[in-house]
Amino acid sequence: MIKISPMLKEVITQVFRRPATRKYPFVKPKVPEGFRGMHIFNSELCIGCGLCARDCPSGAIEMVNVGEKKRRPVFHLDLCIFCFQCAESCPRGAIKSSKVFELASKNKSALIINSPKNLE
Amino acid sequence: MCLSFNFIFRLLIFPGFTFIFLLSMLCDWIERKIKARMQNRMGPAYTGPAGILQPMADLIKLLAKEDIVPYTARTLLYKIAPLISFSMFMLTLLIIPIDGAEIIPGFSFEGDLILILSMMLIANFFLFFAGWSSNNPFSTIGSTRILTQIVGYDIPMFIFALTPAFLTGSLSISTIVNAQRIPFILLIPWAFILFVITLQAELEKDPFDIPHAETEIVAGYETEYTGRRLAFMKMSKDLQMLLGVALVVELFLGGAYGPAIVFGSSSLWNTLWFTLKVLFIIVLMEYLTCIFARLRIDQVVIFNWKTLLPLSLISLVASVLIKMVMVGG
Repeated sequence: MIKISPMLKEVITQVFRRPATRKYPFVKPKVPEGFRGMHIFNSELCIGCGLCARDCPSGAIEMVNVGEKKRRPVFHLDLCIFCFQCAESCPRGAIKSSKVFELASKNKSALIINSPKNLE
Repeated sequence: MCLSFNFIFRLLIFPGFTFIFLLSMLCDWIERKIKARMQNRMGPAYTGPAGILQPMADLIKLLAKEDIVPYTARTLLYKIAPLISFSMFMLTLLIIPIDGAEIIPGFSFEGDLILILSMMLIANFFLFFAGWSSNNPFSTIGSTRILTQIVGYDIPMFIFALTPAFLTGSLSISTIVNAQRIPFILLIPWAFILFVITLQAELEKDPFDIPHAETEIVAGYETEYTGRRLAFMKMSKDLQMLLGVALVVELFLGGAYGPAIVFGSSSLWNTLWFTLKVLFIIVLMEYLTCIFARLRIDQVVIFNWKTLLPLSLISLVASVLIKMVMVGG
């Protein structure tokens, strides 16, 4: 016995329903809690121990010397894999995650958080 | 021969070159929008209201790209093939009476339909030349598949297209259109359905998508084309679609005539009915495109020779019986 495919009717009824496309740049999606986006670094809490740079799996954190004896991390977002091991390793909780995920940029300097130029 | 302003206007602007060009873009937009909605997506939405300027935007984008001729391609054929196919499709469209009257005065003669069908075939053949002259494995495969498909569907398409001519007793398109008191779709519905299926094969739409199978052979015969020449190829394909659908409308749906309206210019009303019928047929063809998967090339050949050709002969016999009932009996 030949069965008629249910797709024949489904295709027609689908024309009259709203499409499933999400209109992305005009309608932003809601991100859940705990979403790992751009890093937020609190410079006052940082003690310069370098544990974040040591534990980063892709080597995206670089410790630079600022001032006499202070060291601060510089985050290179083009290397980062957003695992936030740095936030877990930080003994003072100076690194937090935000919900910002639109990080595409045309120049590389936008991808360096906390660059030495900003630290003066 | 006098080149009156009326003739130039009808030839170049309405319902001639410009109008056909814009109508083919409208058909392209409707095609993409309906196909997208059937597939639960949005379709073109941001260029112009509801995305209606999208085909124009695609064309303008292509005109701005670099034009590359491959080193090993046959240069002359590579450069001319899109232009010739575009011009032949456009010329064939100028023969079809879009608003009920012919565009080039004195052109329509008794063998009109055969001329249109042959020119469609030749222009399709130039798409084969376009792929063949590119000297690229993907293009070669795509072009030979076009030829294999042509071998299969060409004869049934001629037989189905000549069935209304048989019912009318004349091979001229204007006579066939004028003879449809009742549209032929009601008299010979089997020829209509089978002609639409054969048209799917000619326009390379699913299930006969194989010559430019996007997931298999990059773009088939269009692979090496960029920039302006790709724009011409795309425009040729749009015109081919409009030509096929216009043929269906003229032969089976009663052409440019609709319910009689007394006020206003009859030319504009006829064009409106023509456009509405064209859009209806396009929606039907997009429905067929969405529900079918792609056939392999050997399945296409088997389908054409084992199914379509016998069906075309049976349909011819049935039309002969209808004609006998209409005339005598």
